[in-house]
Amino acid sequence: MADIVLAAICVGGGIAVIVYASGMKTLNTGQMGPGLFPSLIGWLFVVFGAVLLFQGIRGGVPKHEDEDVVVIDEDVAADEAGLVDASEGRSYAILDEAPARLLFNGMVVVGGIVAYLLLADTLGFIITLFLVLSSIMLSLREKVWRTAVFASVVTAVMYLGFEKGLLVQLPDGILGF
Amino acid sequence: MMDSVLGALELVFSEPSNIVVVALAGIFGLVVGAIPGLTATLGAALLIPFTFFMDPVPAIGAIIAMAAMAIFAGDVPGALLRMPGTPSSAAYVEDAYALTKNGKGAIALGVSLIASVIGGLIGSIVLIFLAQVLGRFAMQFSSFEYFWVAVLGLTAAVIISRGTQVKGAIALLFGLLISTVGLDVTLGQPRFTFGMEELYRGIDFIPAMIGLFGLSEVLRNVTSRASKVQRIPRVETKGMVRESFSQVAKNKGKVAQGAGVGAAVGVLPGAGADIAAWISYAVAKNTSKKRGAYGRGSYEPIAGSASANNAALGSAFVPTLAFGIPGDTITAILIGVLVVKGVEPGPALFTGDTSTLFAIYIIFIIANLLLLPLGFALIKGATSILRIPRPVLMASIVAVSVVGAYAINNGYLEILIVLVFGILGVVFERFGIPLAPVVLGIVLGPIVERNFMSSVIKTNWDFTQFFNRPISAVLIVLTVLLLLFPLMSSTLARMRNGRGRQEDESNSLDADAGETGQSGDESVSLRTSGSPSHRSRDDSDSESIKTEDERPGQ
Repeated sequence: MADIVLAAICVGGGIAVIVYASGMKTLNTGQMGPGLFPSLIGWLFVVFGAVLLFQGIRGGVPKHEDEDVVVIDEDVAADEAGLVDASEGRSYAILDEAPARLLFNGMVVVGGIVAYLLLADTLGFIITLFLVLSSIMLSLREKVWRTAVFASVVTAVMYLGFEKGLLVQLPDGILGF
Repeated sequence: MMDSVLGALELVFSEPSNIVVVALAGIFGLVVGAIPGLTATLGAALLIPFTFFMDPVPAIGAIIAMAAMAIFAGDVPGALLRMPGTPSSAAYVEDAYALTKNGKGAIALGVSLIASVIGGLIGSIVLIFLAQVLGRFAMQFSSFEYFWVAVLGLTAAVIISRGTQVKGAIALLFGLLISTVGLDVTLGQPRFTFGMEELYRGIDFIPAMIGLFGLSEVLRNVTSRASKVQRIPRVETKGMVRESFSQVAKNKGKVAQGAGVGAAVGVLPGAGADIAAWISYAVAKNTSKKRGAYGRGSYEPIAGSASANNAALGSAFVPTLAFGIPGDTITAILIGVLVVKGVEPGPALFTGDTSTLFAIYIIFIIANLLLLPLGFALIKGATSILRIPRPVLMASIVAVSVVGAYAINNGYLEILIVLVFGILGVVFERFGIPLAPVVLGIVLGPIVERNFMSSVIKTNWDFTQFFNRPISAVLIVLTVLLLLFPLMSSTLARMRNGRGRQEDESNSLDADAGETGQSGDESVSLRTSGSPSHRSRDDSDSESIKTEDERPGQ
């Protein structure tokens, strides 16, 4: 199903690119100029989208498997079956996070960067980055005191490295830093 | 020639800070490579903002050293946790892990390290000689030949991409489309800018790379089914160096074979260290008297494949230096850095003052020599790196991505590009679309378009000129052969199917004592993966390149 959706996006996107490119200027000789290359890309999107659609309908696209999950599942199965030698140990511990929590983690990272874009000029580099990094670490269930320490250290390293070392003018904000 | 060499030595050694930069970048590469999921490409992307503030030689040196060390360091979590740190280490992860379980993890890593250094040096020598020959040959190229070289690179990117080739093509087309954003090369017309003047100069390659390989990895990590390292096996390093050299001496044939295979594969545009490692594994197994031991703790595949992936790293620079065509994602990033530094890769490098070119060669040698002491230090301290808390690691990558992107132009647009491409990277991976062709598309797009347009305009749209030149003809034949490669390899696999089964059964009897199990029906399944990897039993019992888009980069 995902491949059929992707195929539809490719075909639709390809057509949109072709239409957009057709409105571009032509050369003095009457030939396509700036629009030629995008048009070609658009047509190829349509072609490969159609091929993918065909493969998707026929079920010919190899199934993508996540080996992380495979290995973790193997570990879990071996553990439950009592096959794991205690002296070997296991490489993994499952942090049983709900899908909603995982989505929240992703939103914190994306939201943190958006917040940096919106707030850096007002709050300044140091405060904004510290808050962003703290949010990310806390969302990943890091202890509060360790979050405070590591976020401070990383922010300080970034500030000293870029502002003082590489002389990049980082946003100062209303407090001047 | 001598003047160039002396000039290069002066460029490299006149500033002690150059060697310090190379060493620091190397240490960074060891850390990046040793952490599962962080690839050499990601390391290169995160290094770029820093290279902006360096002279060309240390900037190039930093990326070369980082990549060489990261490729080796990927073996560390592979051996200790069965999690390849980079996709290049996935080929022999089962052997390394099995050796660790037998208390020989340090020796496995030592063998990998020494083989990596030897392979890297051989790859560097191949680069030096081949780049010189091809670079001088490329002086005869006109826009027609450059067009076909770029097409060859695009074709290779699709054929050798992870995931299905159709999805590889879609990824490449997306990269090409991104490359068209901005003012066009013929009439200076804005394309896909939608009235935003900030986009007139195009989508900056660097924040796009940071987003695709840096931020997307963070997003993938924090939204994936979480797992953490629970218990790291103890690694006994006493006597490691002597025993490692002894094992390399026993397997010197495989090291040489791996270096040869790696150097040959690396030259192909679009291939990379991970593909080289898998092919080397297959070649080593097919030519081994101890096939049955492969996958269950043999030093042979480690010696061969570890040598191959570092050799490929050097030879991947051949098309980069000679033609200005990236050999893999890292060289694609390096081309971006070279251009920013005012160094135009391609035949121009081989004319006039070639001291910068020779300095690149010298940096390769230095980086590989530095790998030996730093690599042994890494093996001794590997467990510390693997214990870096995940939240700290992820937050640090976000910090470098955001601040590094901002530093490029002191603007917020670059951070926005990082964010957009980071999200796109995750979406692409969910759809099974490989990321490497996107990079090659972005880099090669302008080369293809510029050479095509200049060719047709100067010949008044006479397309026959693209086909009636001897060098063009050779390049077209190579491109067609590359397109036929999947078909030929599957046919060959079918032809060898029956014979391989019989040989496997007989050879497995020669396996090392102490090995258990039977691999008579087990095929070498060529997978490229940066995540925990396991050998699959393939019903077809054929040697196939089974590529799965697990992680970006090499």
